[in-house]
Amino acid sequence: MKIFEGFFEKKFNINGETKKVLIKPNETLLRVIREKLGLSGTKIGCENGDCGACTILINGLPVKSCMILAIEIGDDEEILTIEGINDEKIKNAFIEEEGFQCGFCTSGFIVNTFALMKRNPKPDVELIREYLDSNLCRCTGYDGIEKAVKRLIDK
Amino acid sequence: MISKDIVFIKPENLKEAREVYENYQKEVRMPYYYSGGTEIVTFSRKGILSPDCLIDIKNIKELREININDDFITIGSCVTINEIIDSKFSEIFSKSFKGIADHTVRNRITIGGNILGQLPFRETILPLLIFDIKIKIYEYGGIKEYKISNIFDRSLKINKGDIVTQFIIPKKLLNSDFYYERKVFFTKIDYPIISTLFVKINDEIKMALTGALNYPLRDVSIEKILNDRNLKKDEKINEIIKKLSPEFKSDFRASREYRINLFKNILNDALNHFGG
Repeated sequence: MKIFEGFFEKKFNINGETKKVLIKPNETLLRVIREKLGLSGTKIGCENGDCGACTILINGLPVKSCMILAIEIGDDEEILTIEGINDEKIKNAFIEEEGFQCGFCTSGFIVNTFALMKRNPKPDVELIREYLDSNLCRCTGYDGIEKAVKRLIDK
Repeated sequence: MISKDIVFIKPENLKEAREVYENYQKEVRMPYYYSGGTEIVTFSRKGILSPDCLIDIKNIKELREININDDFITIGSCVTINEIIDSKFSEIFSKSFKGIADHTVRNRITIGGNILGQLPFRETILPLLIFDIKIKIYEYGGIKEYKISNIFDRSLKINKGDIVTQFIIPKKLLNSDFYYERKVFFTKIDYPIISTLFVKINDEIKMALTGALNYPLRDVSIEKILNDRNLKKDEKINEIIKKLSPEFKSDFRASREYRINLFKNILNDALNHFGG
């Protein structure tokens, strides 16, 4: 049995690197990623699991990092944030189809799109919407975002 | 962020988890079993919950597995909703679970957490009630098995500190004909105004619903009306509405009257689906 109380050193496998930081058990993964690991591409939106701006991948699965405590992450789990996604095709598709307006939600959408394309490079509309329904765009740029994903499929 | 210091414990097995729970309770410190964490983290941030100690049970082996044999499917209570959907063992489960939260959140919400959390909807329980599945619970003296109908009355009646370990679903019923309808207020991703599941088993329609009342419900007296061959379709609907409507709730998502009308339409569509 492991008991965690107060500050302790925790190891994270994030974007292909191993990092150690001091955390407390009450800190969310979102806050640790931004404030302790210095990766500010993962955005703070609602912090309530609604908006998807904080989406990251854990072992390839998209999750909302505001709803996860950093302490939960196992030593063998792999975290991927927007900074670790070196997929120019997705980023270019979002640029070409104007899949963003203010850009605040974009990293969450791109991370989720990356997870979708890994699962199924030729998703149907139902699967695209199932994935992207997890993210909100306050500028309502959904049409461009969906077009960006469809452009990726066509390529 | 949870706005107070907490103790986070990762027990190796059920015995350790239960012992830790009891020890913290004796110290008048509020322990919670922790699985997906979606509800505990967000409710703690809002001040609705104030845990002192979280006992993370999701890595205990028997709680994390889906096992399929010739007769039964056994689902661990810390299996996520998406793991159940993706295992594709039943369209009834896949379809009725896809309405819960959104795809990303379903990667964390677990079936046990959904049923034992604070939110009243507990949508994953609908097929479990209809199939009257068996539940294994770790309590004093080891694991005991119960029929869900014997321990579910608005919520699961288990003792503090007990751990729901597994849900045992009879495999032979999973290909039954079904009708599922889930209505939301405005956006697709929302809690349900009403969520209903009907399954035809051995020529009898079984039904469970949630969202319209303050708790999930399966009521055999309602099913008797649904299956009464002496009643016409409209008579069945009116009888059921008369019986259930006093329990329907009003809130900002929908009025009681709106929910009743939605339910009337759903009953009509379900009965048409099964041929009246």
